[in-house]
Order: sequence, then structure tokens, then C-alpha cells
Amino acid sequence: MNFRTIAMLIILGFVVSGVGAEDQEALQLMNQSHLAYYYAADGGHARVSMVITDKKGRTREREFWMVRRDVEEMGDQRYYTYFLRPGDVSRTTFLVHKKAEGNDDRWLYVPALDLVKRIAANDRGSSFVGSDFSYEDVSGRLPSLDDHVILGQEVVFDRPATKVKSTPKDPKTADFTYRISWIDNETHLPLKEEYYDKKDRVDRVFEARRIEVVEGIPTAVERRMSNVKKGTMTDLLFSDLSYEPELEANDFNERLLKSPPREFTR
Amino acid sequence: MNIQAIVRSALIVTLFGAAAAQAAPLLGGFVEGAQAIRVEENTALGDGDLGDRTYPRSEFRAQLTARDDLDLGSLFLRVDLVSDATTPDRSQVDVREAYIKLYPARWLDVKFGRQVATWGTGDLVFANDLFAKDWEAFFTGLDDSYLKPPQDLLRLSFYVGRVTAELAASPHFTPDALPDGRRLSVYSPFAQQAVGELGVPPMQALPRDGTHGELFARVFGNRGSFEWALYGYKGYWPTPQAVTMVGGSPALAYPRMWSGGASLRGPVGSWLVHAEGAAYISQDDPDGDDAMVINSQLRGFVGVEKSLGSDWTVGGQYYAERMLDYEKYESGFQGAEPMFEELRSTATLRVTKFMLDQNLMLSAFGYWGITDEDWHVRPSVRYKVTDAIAATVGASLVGGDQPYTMFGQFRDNSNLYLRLRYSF
Repeated sequence: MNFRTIAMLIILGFVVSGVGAEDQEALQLMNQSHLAYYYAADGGHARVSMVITDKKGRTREREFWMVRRDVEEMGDQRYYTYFLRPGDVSRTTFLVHKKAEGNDDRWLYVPALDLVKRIAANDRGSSFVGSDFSYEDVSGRLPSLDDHVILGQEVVFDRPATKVKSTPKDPKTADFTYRISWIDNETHLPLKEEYYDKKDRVDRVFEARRIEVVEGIPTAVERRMSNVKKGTMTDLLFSDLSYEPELEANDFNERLLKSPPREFTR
Repeated sequence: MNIQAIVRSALIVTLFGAAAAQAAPLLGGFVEGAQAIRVEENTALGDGDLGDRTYPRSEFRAQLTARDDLDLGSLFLRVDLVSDATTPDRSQVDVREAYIKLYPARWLDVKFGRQVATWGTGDLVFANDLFAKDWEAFFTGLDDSYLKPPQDLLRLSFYVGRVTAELAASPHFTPDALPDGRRLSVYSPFAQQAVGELGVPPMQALPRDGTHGELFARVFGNRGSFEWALYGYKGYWPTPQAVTMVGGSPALAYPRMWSGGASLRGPVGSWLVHAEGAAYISQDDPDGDDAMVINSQLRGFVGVEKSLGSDWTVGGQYYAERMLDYEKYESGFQGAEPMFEELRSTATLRVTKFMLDQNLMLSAFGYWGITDEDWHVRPSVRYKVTDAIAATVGASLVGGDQPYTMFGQFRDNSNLYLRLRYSF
């Protein structure tokens, strides 16, 4: 081994460790963002209005209460949804035991039959109630599943943000090839995300269009997911937000499916 | 569908709606027109003044739902107003739910009154769910939710740690609703052929005087992603399974039975798997000696379901029923070929696909009676035109080699249907 080789190795070593540190910084930022967006407080609830607009501009509306309770930070979570509208799904409830690893457990309660139906849940990329949001968009994708690189600083919606590129470590785990995110420097909330396909075309775009501070916690209260290819979009409006969960993780069971909290049924 | 009936229904709906809105906050409801048409003539049904036999269902239905939250709990009311040209005398007010739900303690819920109840793990197959079923609705194009008729129950749910125990009791027995020969022909064991309204065998109704009640029980819990449950029942066979003499002539009757069973449901790999089993003990013929009363049975099934991505879901089940003391049943035929085999099995398959942002649902459910050599297929297409309007087109197709098997008895009753529903 001559002097030149040793010098090369030393330089290479610097480069590798330098990239490693940057990667570490990107992952840390995405973890912070994930916590701020999906794990704020220990849980909470909100009344959500959803408007789905198709490519001809026709709209479909959904309205539901959504409750979240974290079992563990960055880990398992419980989700509960009580549908108010449209009329044909009114009073239907939906329960998800989200697993950080492995498939979620999902149940649907059909009140007209008093039926608790277990839902096959091996497809996180499928659409949530026919909207442009997938189950994974609603409950989150762990940052550790992707490799992250910081691309620079940009201003989005008048807010300084860090631009990050995320590439799934295993392409089979995602329905995008890579994702560009703009993470708000102040709140760590994702302000915008672009999901790209194999041919470098934008497939879907997420936007946090309005952020409000609720009980001291910055919250994206207006969210939009646009499916650029299909020409459809879905808007979510959050109201009646609270981060003081009344339900414990153990309460997310069949009893809750059949007996919604009275606050929701009024 | 006659105009007079529609006007009458509309009037009742308006009056009831106004009254309900006064009394309790109206949650919503729907109005629906449903038309079913036979794919072939059924000569067993007869004709003439018995009504139009071309249409097993030709109805207008309005449903209203109301709830009132009280300090102790909630009052709940769901009422259907139905006007049907196929059975004009049955145009009626059908109270599907009228109950009060109370939460007296952290460990107890009480649901009292008329209600629909379901438990167990099967997809349109049953072992431990002995709540009544409406097979007539099932075979004539109504929404799947009408498979369960309401029952008058006191239902108690006890929450003890991570285990839940439930008891449901009714002062009177609610049998399955079976076709009465008007919408669908039925098999008469006395005539040994399919018959219409006039030939339907007499059935011995159990008095609703509080002496013929039913008791349902379930204990259930979770272990990780798996759900387990134990079940019990004491009451009567849900369909007539005995022959008795009433006033010197034979009639079908509901013999006593009790049952016990268990179920398990959970994920195995990317499949959702369920299994359930039950023993039905025929109390009026525990040893199988009485040829006029059904023998005890074991029933069970296993099933799998998987979502294939792109809004495709498939599921399959294998169901089996084993008659106990079969040799005694067999000897009743005195060397002739017995009607049923000792082990009877059925396979089911379901395929569901959502399209157009889940506004279009394609679904097909099929039963294949492996032993009985009969079948039933239920294809349907549902399109949500708007959030309020849904159109459903489907079929109830039935066939079989023998006229007395589960599906074979309805073999001349295949029909197509169309439903148009406006929800509010």
C-alpha cells in the first residue's frame, strides 16, 4: 500500500463520515417531523370535514370524528373514526390498531347489522374512504423505512423550510419511488410533500395549507392531497380539536365501536 | 308498484317524520325503490288472484332514524315504512330498532328493546350466531343488512378486565323468516315438491306468552391481534326441524335446542383467518331416536380473506355440518337412500373490487354445496351517483339437483333486482 492509496482512503473516510453525519441530520429532522405531525401530545381528537373533488370538479363530502391515542412514541397507535356523513355511512365506526411493524388490525362496525367486521389490512397504500389520502398518509410512514438527504433551504407558504429527499430502502414497501418534503423550520410540520414515480413525474402532492396553534401545539388544520395524474384532490378541514385524550389505549375496542363517545353523537 | 301505495307511504313518512323530529333529533334515513324480477317462470307459485308472480319484490321503502340522548343513556328508533305490490297486505310499519341503551356502570352496558344482533366470525355462514335471519329478504334482492330481522332483547354487556361477557335474553322465540310461497316457492316435505302460497305446510307457532324464550351468551377477548370467543345458546332450532301433529294433521315445528361453541379470528401472514365451531344439541331428540325430530349436529367453518391491492379483496370459506347418531337417521329410511349425508360441506367465495374512487363497488359472493350439489351466487354492482344517491343492480341465482336442499329448494326462484336509494 503506497502513500497515494493511504491518502485516498483518508479522503474517502472523511467523505463517507461527512455524508453519514448529514444523513443522520436528515433522519433526525424527519423523525422530529413525524413526531410533530403524527404523534403530537399523547393523542387527541378532531372533527374532520373531507371534500373530494374529481377531475370534472364534482365533489363528494365526508364528515367524521377522528380520535388518536399513542401507545408509544414512534410506535403503536390507536385510531377511531365515527362517521357523521354521508347519510349511508352515518353512525358507522372504524377502529385501527396501528402497528409500527407489521400489518395493522382494522375493524369496521356496521350498525344496521350490529356487525363487527374485521378488515384485511395488508395494503397500506389503498385509499382511505375513497379519498386521495391513503391509509399510510393518515397514520404515517416510519422515517426509518426511507433514506433521507437534505437538499437545502426554501420558503414554502411564506415559511422557511428544509427541503428533504426521501427514498424507500425497500421499494416494495412504498407506492412512490421517492418523495421531496419541505419541513417547516419552526414547527417541524411537513408544509409540502411531492411523491414521485419511477419516471420522475409527480404523482401526488400534499400541502399543509393552514397551521394553527391548538392548546400550545402547532397543528395543520387545513390539508390537501392532490393526485396530479388523476386530476383529483382531497381537502381536509380539522375543527373542534383537542389534545387532551379522554380515551386510554385499552378503550379502543369493540365497546367503543358500538358505543361512540356522546360528544360525537350530539 | 302501485301509485296509491306510494302516496300512502309518502304520507305516513311525512307524518311520522314530523312526529319524530318533534320528539327526538332525527338522524337521517333513506327512501328506496326496489324491484326484483324472475329470470324464469315458476309454475309452483300459481297465478290468478294470488298477485303478480313475475316480481318477487316490487316495493317502496322509507327508513327514518332518530336518537335522543338522555342523562342515563340513549333512546334509539329506526323504522321502515314499506309498501310492496307483491304482498300488498304486508305494506307495513316495520320497527327495526326501538331500544334504550344505558351505561349504569363502568363495567356494564344495557341495551333493552327491539334490536338487531350479530356475532360470530362467518361471512354469510353461521355456527354460533343464532339470532334470527330473514332468508326471504336474502333471496329477493334486499340489502344484506336485511338478513337480520329485529328481535326483542335485553342485552347485558359486562366488562371484566380485558374480557367481555354478554347475555341476551328474549321472552319469546324469534324464528328465521322463511319464504311463505308468495315471493318465492318453498319445498314442502309433505307434498315432496316445491309449492306456492296455498301449499305451504302448516307451521306450529310457539306462543308469545313468555314461556318460550331464548337465551344467548358470549364471552370474548383479544390476545394480541387475535380475537377469541366462546358462545352459548338455549332456545329452539331457528328453522322448523320436526314434524308434529296439530288437530289430526301434520305440521312443521321448532324443536328445542341448546348449543355451545367457540371462534378465533386473526392475521396469519398477509391473510385474515377465521375459524368457528359449534355443537347443536337437539333437546327433544338427544339420542337421535325420534325420526320426526332433527338429530344433534356439529357445525363449523374456516375462512380466509386477503386484500390484493388496488381495492381488490378475495375471501373463501369451507363450512361443514355433521349429523350425530347418523345410523339411527339412516335406519329411518328403511334401506332407501337417505335425504342427507352424514357430513355436508359447502364452500364459499367472495370477490370485491372498488373502482372510481370507491364509488363503484363490484361484488360477487358464491356458495357451492359440495355434498348437496346445489349453489347460490350473488353478484352485485353498486354505484354511488352522488353522496346521497346509490343505485344497485344484482342477482340472486340459485340451483340444485334436489328440491329439498338448502339452496336447491329455491332453484326456480332466481331473480335480478334493481334498487335505487336516496339517503339523507
